[in-house]
Amino acid sequence: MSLQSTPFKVAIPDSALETLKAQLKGAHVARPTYEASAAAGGRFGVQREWLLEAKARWEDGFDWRAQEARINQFTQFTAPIPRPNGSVLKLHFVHERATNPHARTILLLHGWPGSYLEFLDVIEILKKTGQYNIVAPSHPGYAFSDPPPTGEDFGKEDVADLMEALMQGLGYTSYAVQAGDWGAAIARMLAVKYSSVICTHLNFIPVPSSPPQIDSNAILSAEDEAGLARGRDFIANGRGYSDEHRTRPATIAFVVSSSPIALLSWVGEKFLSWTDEDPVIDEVLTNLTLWWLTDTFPTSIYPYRDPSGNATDPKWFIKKPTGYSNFAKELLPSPRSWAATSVNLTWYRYHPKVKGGHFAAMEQPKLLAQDLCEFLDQEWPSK
Amino acid sequence: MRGPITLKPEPFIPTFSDQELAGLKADLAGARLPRPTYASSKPEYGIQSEWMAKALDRWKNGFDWRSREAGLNSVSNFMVDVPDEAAPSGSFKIHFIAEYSKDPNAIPLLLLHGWPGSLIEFIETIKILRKSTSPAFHLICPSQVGYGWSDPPPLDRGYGMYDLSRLMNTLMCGLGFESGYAAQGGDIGSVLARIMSVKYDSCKVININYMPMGPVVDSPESYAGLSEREVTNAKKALRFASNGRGYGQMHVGEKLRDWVDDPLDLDVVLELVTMWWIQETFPTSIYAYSELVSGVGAWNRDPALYLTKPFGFSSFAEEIASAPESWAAETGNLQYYRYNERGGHFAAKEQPQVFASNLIECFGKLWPGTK
Repeated sequence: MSLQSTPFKVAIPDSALETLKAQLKGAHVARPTYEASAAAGGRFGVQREWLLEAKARWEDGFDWRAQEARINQFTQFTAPIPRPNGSVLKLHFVHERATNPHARTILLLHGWPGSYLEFLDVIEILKKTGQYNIVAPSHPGYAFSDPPPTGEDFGKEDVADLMEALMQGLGYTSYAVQAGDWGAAIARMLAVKYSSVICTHLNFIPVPSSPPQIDSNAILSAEDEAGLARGRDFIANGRGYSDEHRTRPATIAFVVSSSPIALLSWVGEKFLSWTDEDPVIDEVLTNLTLWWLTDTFPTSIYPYRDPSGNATDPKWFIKKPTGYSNFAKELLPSPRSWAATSVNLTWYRYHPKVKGGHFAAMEQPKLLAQDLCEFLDQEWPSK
Repeated sequence: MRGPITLKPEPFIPTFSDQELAGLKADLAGARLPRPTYASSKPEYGIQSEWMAKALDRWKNGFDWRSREAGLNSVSNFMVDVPDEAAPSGSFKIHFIAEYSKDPNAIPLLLLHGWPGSLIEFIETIKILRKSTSPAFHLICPSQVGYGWSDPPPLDRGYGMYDLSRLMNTLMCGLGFESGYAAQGGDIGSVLARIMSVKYDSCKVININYMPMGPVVDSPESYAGLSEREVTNAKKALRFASNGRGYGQMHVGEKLRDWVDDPLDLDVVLELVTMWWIQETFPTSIYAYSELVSGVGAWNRDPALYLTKPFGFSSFAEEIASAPESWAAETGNLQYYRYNERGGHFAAKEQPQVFASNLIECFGKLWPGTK
């Protein structure tokens, strides 16, 4: 083991929390419009009523210290990770090492607008089994990890290389990866580039149009059609934010960082529109408080202008055994046969009625953990 | 000839109170800027940290709203209630600039701003056109619903381009121009002008300065026969569609930087954002965009909006994208075309002399009354 890991605990100073409160109190909320009214039904984004409720709760009632105490029940570290160009980037991560010497190792990769917090319930479940070593990092630019260097057009492969270096540095020469959102692109890159990756489990394999390998006359199930319709709607109506991230990341960073209400709107909206059932407001506020206090937003959106690691790019086809947990309310659920053109699909489960969407780990930790364990028992059985 | 006037405009002095200006100053004092990123040092990714810090500093110290306000008040401003079926109270309050000619044959000309615009963009042009004698003009320049001192759109229903166009026609007819008027627009103003030409008999002729159409089919054949300049300007439309329209599914300062030829004076930018901030018009101005998901270019190619009445196209070299004359002619009865080497998306503001001369030529030629 070659990394110099330093134990880490989240400890936000009182002054920072007081400043946030003052910023919330002074924050301006846009005047009412039709688009933000109940009459528009959320079609145009965050509704004013929800925003005012969330703002009021954030100012008074939401208890960061209680959340912080819970977060600190998990063993966290920071470590400087060496990079191929000779520089060093500090990563923050949860690391729960099992006492069982034959434990299998899992790397959990979050996405946008996520954080390692999404995985805490899953980590707790996995930890209880005693069978896994668990590593859940914050991506560069998120939470307590260093941001990407400002002089460099840092991209997804740089992230993947860092994650491999992290795992090697922790002494893990073999590991499995679980991921969704853009974490899935990193998982893909790790699986393709590094022999240390044994298998991958993904809850996000977006193949929105019929791949060339598939007979275009093949009949799809009603579930598959429904999933594709969801995907088409997302592509047509739900991707404005990603165009902005991709083309004008500098501008949008100024906008979203200008007040906690800006963050609550731009990012908070995704916690509502991308989940099956609306999460409890405190869950949204925990994530947003972390983001606000670490000034994560500006340095979280670099992946959007990097098209690499795409699920439909043959260069990034995953040859290693891959499991796909397909939640019906994901943004871009793919038919099993289509997903199988993007990965060596050896395990598949569709979740039709369960209340899970894009934030599967947060919304359905038991199910996701169960799926993951089953998949690992199949592809990487314990000794 | 000006007919009966059925609306009741009142003289209006656009101004902000000391209290409103103090509120803005307090908001600015609390403003914080995020940490720099790789992207914030690159102009292609939007506003740069350096510009932002400079603009914020100027806005806090040195920018003088009162002198800008004096500029706005150097033309004649009015407020009027315009009846409309979409208005919750039965009518929308519209702020507009009006400069009437003494010439009874003057062309009534409606000037339509876009986003992120305001009627201020037209002030220099108005001062030039009000001196024109052949032709002479009655100049009407409103602040659209949701912008500036005009009423916001209704809270209980959607509101879009066709609604606005209807309102603008009611305004012009109510000001005595039912027998005929001309309209000019850029940005979404160009969509309004197109709709008005198609739908309202009183709208006789239009000039637009924004036609960012792509080809009907994106193939090399579509570009055959075009000059190099025409191809370059047309292709910007495709780049804009893939790269520059993220805002549309959003940032005022950045657009005022990106879409111009020579950079606008910083105080011009700050004037606009001061109005937008104090009047909270950002939320009430972007309703147009839910309809414009397909882009203004697609509206130009909509067969339902084919222009059978004469229209003119004033093309500016540094516009976001500009179709060749031949493609513009595919969308209607193109009777005037002029290419201008200087000026961009905010042409009226950037090049008032050139802009005004385009309109004098265009309407001098196309207006049915001046033969």
